[in-house]
Amino acid sequence: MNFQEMIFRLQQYWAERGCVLMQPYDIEKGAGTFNPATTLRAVGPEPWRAAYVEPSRRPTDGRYGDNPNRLQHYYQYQVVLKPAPDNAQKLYLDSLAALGIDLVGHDVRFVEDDWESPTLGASGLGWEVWLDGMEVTQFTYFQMVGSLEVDPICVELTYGLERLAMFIQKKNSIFDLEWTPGITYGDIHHEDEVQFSKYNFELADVAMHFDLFDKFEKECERLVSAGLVLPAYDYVLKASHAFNMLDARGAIGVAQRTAYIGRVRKLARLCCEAWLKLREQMGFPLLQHAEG
Amino acid sequence: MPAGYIRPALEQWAKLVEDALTDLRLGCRETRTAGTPRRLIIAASGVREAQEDTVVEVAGPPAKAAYDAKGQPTRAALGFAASQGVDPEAIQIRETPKGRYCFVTKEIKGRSAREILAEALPKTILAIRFPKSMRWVTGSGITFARPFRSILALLNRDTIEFEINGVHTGRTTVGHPFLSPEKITITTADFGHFIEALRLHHVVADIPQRRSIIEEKIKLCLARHGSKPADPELLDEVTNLVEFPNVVEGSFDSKFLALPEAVLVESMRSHQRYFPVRDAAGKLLAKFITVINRDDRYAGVICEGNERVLRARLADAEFFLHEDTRTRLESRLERLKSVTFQARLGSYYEKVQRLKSLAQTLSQQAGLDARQTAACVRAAELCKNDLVTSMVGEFPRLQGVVGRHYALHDGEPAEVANAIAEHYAPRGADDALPQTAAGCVLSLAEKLDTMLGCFSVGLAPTGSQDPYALRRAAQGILRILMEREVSIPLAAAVAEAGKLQPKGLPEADGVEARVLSFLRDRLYNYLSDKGYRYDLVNAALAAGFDDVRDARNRLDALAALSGEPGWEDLVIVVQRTYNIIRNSEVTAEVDEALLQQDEEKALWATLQKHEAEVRTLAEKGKYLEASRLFAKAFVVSVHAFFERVFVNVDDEALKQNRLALMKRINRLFTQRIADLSQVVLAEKP
Repeated sequence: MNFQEMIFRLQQYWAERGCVLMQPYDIEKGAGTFNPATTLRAVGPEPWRAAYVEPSRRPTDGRYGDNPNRLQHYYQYQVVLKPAPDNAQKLYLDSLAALGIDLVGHDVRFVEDDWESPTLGASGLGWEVWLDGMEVTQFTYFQMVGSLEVDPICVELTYGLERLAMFIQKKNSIFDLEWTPGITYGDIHHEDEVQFSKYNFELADVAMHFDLFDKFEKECERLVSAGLVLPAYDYVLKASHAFNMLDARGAIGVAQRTAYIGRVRKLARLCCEAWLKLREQMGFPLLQHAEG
Repeated sequence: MPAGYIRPALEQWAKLVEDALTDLRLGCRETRTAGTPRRLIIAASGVREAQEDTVVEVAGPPAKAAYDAKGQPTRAALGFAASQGVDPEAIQIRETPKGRYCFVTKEIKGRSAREILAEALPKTILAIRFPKSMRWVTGSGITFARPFRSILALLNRDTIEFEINGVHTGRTTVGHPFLSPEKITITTADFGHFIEALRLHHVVADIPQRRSIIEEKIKLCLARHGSKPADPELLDEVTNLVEFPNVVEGSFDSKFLALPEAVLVESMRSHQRYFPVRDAAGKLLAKFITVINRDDRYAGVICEGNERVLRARLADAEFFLHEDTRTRLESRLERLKSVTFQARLGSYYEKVQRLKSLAQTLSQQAGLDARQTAACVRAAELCKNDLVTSMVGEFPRLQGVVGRHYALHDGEPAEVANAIAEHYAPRGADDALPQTAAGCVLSLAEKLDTMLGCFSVGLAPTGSQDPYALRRAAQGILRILMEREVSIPLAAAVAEAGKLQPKGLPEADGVEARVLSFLRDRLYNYLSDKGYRYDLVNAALAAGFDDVRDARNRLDALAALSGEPGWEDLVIVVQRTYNIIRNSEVTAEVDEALLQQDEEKALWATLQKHEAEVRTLAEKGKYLEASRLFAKAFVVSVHAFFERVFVNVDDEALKQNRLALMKRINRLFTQRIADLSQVVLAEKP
């Protein structure tokens, strides 16, 4: 099964299980969790089911395209189910079966992993899912998001699409994955890795990113005060990415690091609180749908 | 369930169930437990079908308030009877120390076990505590390690009906989720049958049995390579990662054996829970063993998958090695300026400057030769640089070990490289000590610097709070001084480390004394843990611990002497001489002209004759001989002195002279060997 077929199958599978199929959010982010379709929707009492592909960037993971297993830009497939269904684990396992994985013939294991995103003020309990020793999915019951307690509990499934594809296609290098017949992942993304690794590690303008971070932070706070939570949240993402760039450039010391993470976390909290208030004022529309 | 949660949960649960059954008068002969990552099992035997009936006696109002003059029950009596659900005629009057009171005696029928357990069992389940627990049902305050989806509860042949978080009890469970996913119906609450039913469905629920199956299989694999048996800690963990225990042996490209061994072990063991494989000589082979949750039919495919994963990890480590070695280790020092050690104590760069200076001083104090000293100081300069390598970023626990590898790569002498790796050792109570002299000294410097710094900023350990692991650091210092051939005067080393700390720290006043007292307490614990009597430890440490090995030698002498016949007499000499001087200020020296009585003259002569020799023996560390000589010289003479000579006479000069004589004898032992006045003698029968 090639890379794009996998995405089709997952889209099909989760659409059939009542998920809204969202599209990627158009701002750089470290993981699908940062998409407002997860972060903001996890907050408050409204039910929500969504699934989407999320291109994600982790500048420090760049390897100049030399390493067959690491990328600074990669794809996650993200599913959020709120409230968490009782059969969450079975739903997930069935999705693997839908990808043609023989669950009897492979070793599927749920390994303890308490997920945490200090920048989002989010944490949860759950598992890494291993397929024959390879971590392919993060399976988390959210307990906190935006420093707010989550209730109802929301379950988040984050598939590492490249890892899963390497497992399915039995490939030793990401770049050898078949994207579609005749075209490999490397054909599409190898040069990105080379160029962005050089940019992230060597050329990114440190002073500019420090400056951007401060400006994004101010803009976010200003917009929250003005009651514009959605534009404000965009600046959480931008500030977070600026921080990731600075981190890749080695520009942030250990002590400073904690302080910067704390600043992003505060912005995320402001946005989540504002979002909750907004939805309340709107009368929690999705709650009404569900009841109606 | 997380692997590490299972055993502690079962232990707690057994206790909770046993206590509940006893408190509820249902009785419990024994409980047995079993568990896998997907289920916790408990069985109790010797449980009654119903509670025992009991008789209770309830006290009511005083008799005089309960009956009027005609002997008719008042409203108080009627109310009491009604509240107890008995007729007023059932009230009995009894004499009590407080007077005559009403009583009723009631027989309480025991309730059925099924009814009671339906209330009690959910409480026992929810009382199990986990390191972390979670919520999963909206609006429910219930937390558990992970959501539970099914509860099977039987009393003999009947289900015990209850519900937790929407899950209702029943008599069915499921087998292995992939190999035997079908429902299993259990007819009777029999532990053996239950375990067997699970066994037939690819679930080995008994933990020791699962462990030994894995252990045997690993043994068979390892035997082919002549390796030592498997790591028991990892064995415990993997036992609780699977329901159906099986193992496969995989291999990797031998080119990866060029990676630092610790990186290979960390990748296999910590990241993947694989068992590394070594040959008979202990050399790592390009092989690993992993535990799988499937039978042999699928082993080949699963093994290939695991090999691919490990290859990816090792390829990544190879990338880090390649990237890191493009820069020399020494050139990373500047980057430490942006890595904070502790807010008040500065960056790691500043710590390294202190370590260089301290390493120099301590090397001299320890009598290291010029080459070792140079190696120690060079290692101090390089020892933190690996903190800013990609490899340590990826494998944080390999700090030090990675530094050694890169130092060797850069052509640093082996002594320097080893000292870098060893300066974190020992990392725990049972961890190996540094092997090289330079490594020992650098490790002492590192730990002393951390202790003095942290004590100076108010981070001394309190209760369970010890964020900088200072207890472990202190223990490391003592173990190195005690067990390695390194001898450093403790007080001078502490003072030197204190001097190097930044100026103006909030709790810098008297920090050396506080650190020394902390070290003394740790030393006391260290020696007590070795099985020495606490009073002997106190006695030996009272004569000093600046040289900890010397303190231990003195302690060994005491331990030997305390088993000899003359021990009590020796102790009594020291205690009597101590008791007589302890409330007086003795400033004078002995004046021979003031000696009057024969016994004091004789004692003085004995002192003249043996003092120097006792001192010389003690200086040579011959504490047994010194002590025996002291005893031989003074047991009889001091005893005779006290028989005949009165010390506290009115003549102040004479009194001072006698006290001075006592003090000199006392100090001869207590200053050089041990303060035996701290010794507790056994009571004579």
